[in-house]
Amino acid sequence: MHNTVTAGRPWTFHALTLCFVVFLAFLYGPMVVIYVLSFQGTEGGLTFPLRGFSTHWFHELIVNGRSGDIAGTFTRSVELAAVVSVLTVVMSIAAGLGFRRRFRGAGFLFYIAIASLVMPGLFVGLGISLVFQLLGWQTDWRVSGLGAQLTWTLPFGLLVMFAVIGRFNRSYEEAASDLGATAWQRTREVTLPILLPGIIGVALFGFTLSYDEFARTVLTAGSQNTLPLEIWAMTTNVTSPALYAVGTATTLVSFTVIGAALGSIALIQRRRSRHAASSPASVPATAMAATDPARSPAMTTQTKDGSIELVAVTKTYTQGAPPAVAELDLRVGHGAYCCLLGPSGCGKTTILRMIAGHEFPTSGDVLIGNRNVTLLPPVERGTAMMFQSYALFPHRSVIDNVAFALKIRGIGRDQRYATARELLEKVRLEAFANRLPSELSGGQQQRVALARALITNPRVLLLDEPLSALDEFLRLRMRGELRRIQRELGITFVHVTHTQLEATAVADVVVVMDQGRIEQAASPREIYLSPRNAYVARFIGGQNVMSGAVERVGEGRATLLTGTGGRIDVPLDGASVVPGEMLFASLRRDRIAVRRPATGEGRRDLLNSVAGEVHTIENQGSYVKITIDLGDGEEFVANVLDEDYFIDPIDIGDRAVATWTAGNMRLLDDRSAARSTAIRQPSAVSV
Amino acid sequence: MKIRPALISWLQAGPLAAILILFFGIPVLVVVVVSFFDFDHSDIVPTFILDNYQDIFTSEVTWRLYLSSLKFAAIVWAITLVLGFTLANYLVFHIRSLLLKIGLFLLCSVPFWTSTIIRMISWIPFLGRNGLFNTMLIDAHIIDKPLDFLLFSDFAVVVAYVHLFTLFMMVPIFNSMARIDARLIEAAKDAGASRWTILREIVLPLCKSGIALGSIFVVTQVMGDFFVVKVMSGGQSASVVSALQNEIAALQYPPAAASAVVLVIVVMMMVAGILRVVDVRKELAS
Repeated sequence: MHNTVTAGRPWTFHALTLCFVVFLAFLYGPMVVIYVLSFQGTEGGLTFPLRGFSTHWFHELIVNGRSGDIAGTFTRSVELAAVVSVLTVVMSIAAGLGFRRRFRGAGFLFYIAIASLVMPGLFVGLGISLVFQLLGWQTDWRVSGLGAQLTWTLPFGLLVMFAVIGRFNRSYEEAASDLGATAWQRTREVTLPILLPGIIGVALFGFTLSYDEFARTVLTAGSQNTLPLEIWAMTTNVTSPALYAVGTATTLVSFTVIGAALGSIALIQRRRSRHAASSPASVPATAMAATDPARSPAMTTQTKDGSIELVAVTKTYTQGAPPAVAELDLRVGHGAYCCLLGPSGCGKTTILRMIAGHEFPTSGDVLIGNRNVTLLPPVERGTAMMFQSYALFPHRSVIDNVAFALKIRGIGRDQRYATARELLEKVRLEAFANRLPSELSGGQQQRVALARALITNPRVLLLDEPLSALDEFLRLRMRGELRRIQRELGITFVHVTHTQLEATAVADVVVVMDQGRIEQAASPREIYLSPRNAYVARFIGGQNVMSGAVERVGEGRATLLTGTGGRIDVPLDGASVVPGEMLFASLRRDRIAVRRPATGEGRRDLLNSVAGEVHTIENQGSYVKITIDLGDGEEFVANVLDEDYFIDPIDIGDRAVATWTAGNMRLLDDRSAARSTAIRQPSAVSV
Repeated sequence: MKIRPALISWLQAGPLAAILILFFGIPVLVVVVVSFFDFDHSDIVPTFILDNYQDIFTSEVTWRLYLSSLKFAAIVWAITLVLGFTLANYLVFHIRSLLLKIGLFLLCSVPFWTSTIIRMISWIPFLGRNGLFNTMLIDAHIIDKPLDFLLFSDFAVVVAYVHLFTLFMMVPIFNSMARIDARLIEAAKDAGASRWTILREIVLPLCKSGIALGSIFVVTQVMGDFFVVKVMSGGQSASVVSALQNEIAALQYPPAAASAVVLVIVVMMMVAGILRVVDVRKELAS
């Protein structure tokens, strides 16, 4: 067998490589020529090969200063570039951070910056020099020259910061404030370190752009030249080796600056990973022993009551738009595992973020442990949040991530590492303490996030779709693990998910939501046994929703006439209905028997049965899911035990009759609205 | 006390805004005002006249200068676009090793960090009548006598522009290309698209914003240039800005201001034209 992988690149690759090499020759060739020519013998002239080798021109230039004030202009330019670079970094970082919020005049300022960037340099210089002239001031490189250069480096720095900050995940900062960092600590410990490569980039660009700038400075530098202006003045004799010597010397300086900058980036990266690798390895055994007392001072001395109460909470993001959360009331007892379940955009994450303090209600109150925390910052609530993408600080090792909250609280290194180690053991990650988050798998990252959230000893843990980034296998394992940890800690968990199975598997209380409202809040069993309305029944799954007009009432039940002409009995459980009224009911799919129609059995359905053509058949292992097409648009599904099904397997396209007993029907709440066609379809597909 | 978030934003953006308004906003307004002033000898006379503009639009020189600058802008734009796109395409899609990719990218951008004037000047010993290129051609017996059109000509101007500005085109295109999801290319291949079709149907539309940004940089650089044209054409060609510089050197500020205003309007119209075709705000925001 031939190995086709090594069969070679297509011809286009070789053609493009050739293009690239030619371009590099085009780029570097002429420059190399002048570097060589700058070592021309004292007679000068453009001859190849060189007439002797000498450093004469460099000597003239730097020591004797014959060809103009190179040394002086060089110093001036470096000073200017350094100042420009520092100012650009400081101002563009600040402005870049400021631009993350909307503020009046932001758009205007942005367009000014762009216009300033693309404006011909001489035009800007002309403007500044005219202003100075009209004011009767002298132009000076320290004032007008500096300003002129900033009009070019600042927009540039701002654009770079936009790009860098745009890729910056906001939840890093939210995680930091959750863990107790103040605004300043957050900026110093999280924001700036993560933005560091971009900051060095801005500094480097600021320096080199300024160091080489002359279109803007030619009219604004005043009586003293900068280096580029001096070089520009020397171009009156374009064949002078002195000029080439300047070129060689300045190039060397530029390369030194770039080299230093790149070197420092590499050094920072290396120190980070080395720091991560070396830091916690030497935790002494004594520190381990002192673990438990060490934990308590870190914690705020709040009551441990983790009950949550939302009172008439409304959140509107844009005025006039429908609210994300509308007049919502909810009570979650201390130590409960509560799942907020609903399709995307139903407001469940908004609720979570309002409990966390990352979002404030437009109206209404949030109470934790019977204390009103509506407007408190995250750290004062005794809550901790696990973010959807985990928001692990990419520049800190696993143990530093976990110990972050203790560092913020000023706990010593040995102590905080000991506590962090203990938590890592709890999530079985002690062997990975020195890794960086990027070196972990998704499941491991999730456990680090859990440990980091738990280190503050929270009374409430908030989990935003904690399992959505994991594969199926890990998801099943981790949801059991979450439940185990919650039991062990005995604190309140609020878990946001859009997966019904996940919610029913872990929760004590499932809150089914739709469009900012709670449709039902109850135990998973109660929701499954008696869903309140058609929406809940469809969303929670395992139910068929059926409807029909009341034909007869009696003996505690109503008989409905369905759209396809069948009749079904629904127990009323004390509800009063009138004939002709439209009713909705749910039927558990695992309480339905399916058989072939008996010979002679007509199309007309019997009481408590439906007939139709089999549409799909899915073998689920312990049961078989049969979908029957009734012709009324609503999906009718029967989950039949595998042993029953395989006695006489029905195939797709066969006719089938489904039957059940009336006691398995549950009356739904939807009747008053009589919205037989207006029922909202849940976006998630029910199982 | 809680500080309003918008106020924090203003404090953060304030210094940058102040510098831009002081050294860019106000000077631009002053140039516009001065362009309506009169002058005698070296003094500016505050009055309101339209003569400066009238002179510009009635002078045949203006039209020649603009024609020449636009011609250079068009040629250089076309060359840098093809070069920048080809090089970025090569680096992003044909170099598999990330380290090599970064290395080659740095190799392309290193000259950018050195003096612009020196890079321009470096063509002189290479292209000159007795320069390296002519010498090589003669030694190889390809030509008998030196080629004269190489230096101090429009050709030399274009070569220097391409040398200086290709990177401005390449970097934005490289950026937007690097952001293209590799699975898109695979999906196109699965659908049976050829290399060329992929380039035309997938890559090109997805780098539109990069191309637009690069085009803005290149076009504004060429239109704003006054030194390359002056040196590389040996004084034979002029650009709008080199003429402007001559007026400034002669201390004729009001006419200089007027031609600067006209130039900026033309350049801004070109930029606006590019932005109309491609919305680069998405690119900047992401």
